[in-house]
Amino acid sequence: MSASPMKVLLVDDDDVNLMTFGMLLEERGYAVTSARTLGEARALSAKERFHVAVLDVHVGKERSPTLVPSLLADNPAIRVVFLSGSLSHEELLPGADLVLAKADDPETLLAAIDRVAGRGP
Amino acid sequence: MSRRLACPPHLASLVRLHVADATGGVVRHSLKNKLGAMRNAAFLLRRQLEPLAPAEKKARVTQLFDLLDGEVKQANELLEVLRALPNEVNQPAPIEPTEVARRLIASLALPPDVTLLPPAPAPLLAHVASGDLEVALLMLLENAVAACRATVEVTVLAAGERVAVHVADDGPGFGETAARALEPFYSSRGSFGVGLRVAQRVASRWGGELELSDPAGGGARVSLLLRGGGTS
Repeated sequence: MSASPMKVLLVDDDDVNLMTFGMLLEERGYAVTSARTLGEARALSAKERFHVAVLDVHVGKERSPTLVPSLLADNPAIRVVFLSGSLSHEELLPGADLVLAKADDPETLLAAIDRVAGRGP
Repeated sequence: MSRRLACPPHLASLVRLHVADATGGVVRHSLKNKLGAMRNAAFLLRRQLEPLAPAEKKARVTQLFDLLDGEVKQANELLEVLRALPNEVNQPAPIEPTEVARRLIASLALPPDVTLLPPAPAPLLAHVASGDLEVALLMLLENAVAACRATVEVTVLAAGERVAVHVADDGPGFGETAARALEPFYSSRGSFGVGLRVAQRVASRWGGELELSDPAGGGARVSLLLRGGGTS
């Protein structure tokens, strides 16, 4: 009997990024739910228990760190991964379990998400 | 007639850098999204197509995907080179925003019909470079002076673990323009539309935020929320 796939909430205001990164995660074996705004993300998080949230740092005019308190309120065990244009944001992103650079190659990004999710070595 | 606030000479170069950084940042952000999507799509295509390629074509298919990957990587590196301001900031000792604001205000040549109230002295310290704070405040004061009826006020207050630097005017307030005010190159009064974005980037570089509001008493208020550094 196969285990249910881990659920990922993917948040990005760019449709193409949402689609391509979502496909990468699904191919990796995650069940992906996408949101284009922080409001959508809050509503989804309130209805469903996600294992991992993968958040673009800048979503529209908002910054995704402001989403973290409500994600943790909905599921204190959720792991939060930020996708940033620059790794120097690492110290300045409260609530992050991991900050990744968007410019990294997909295998590096996926392996890092696997580790945060407790799937990788 | 729209009021203007001349940039103090000692800030001119720094303001140009910040404006270049803000405008370049818009382009870099959009391009990085495109490059990321291209890279992800190429990764997925490679995994699906490489196993299917005939033996005599496999090397060429791999070569083309490697080339695509390399070009995207180099494009990302070029975007980093184009930064006007370094993204990593050295953390100097925290400063007194009150002192910086009072010094800046004293250096400004105000329009004769505007009263600009400086903040009361306060021993609050915040994590931000003095020059960056001056640039951010100048951008906010330019907007406030242009929008006000007669008065602009700067206050510096503790806000939990943060220090809030408020710039408030007695003009018409943001109203419906609030939703668009932080859009790059948007302006409700025909200016270049980059001042709020510069201030927001300064706040963000130092781990803070920018907030816009229309206070209950009228007018508009823009708040720089900076990481607090204790008291002096």
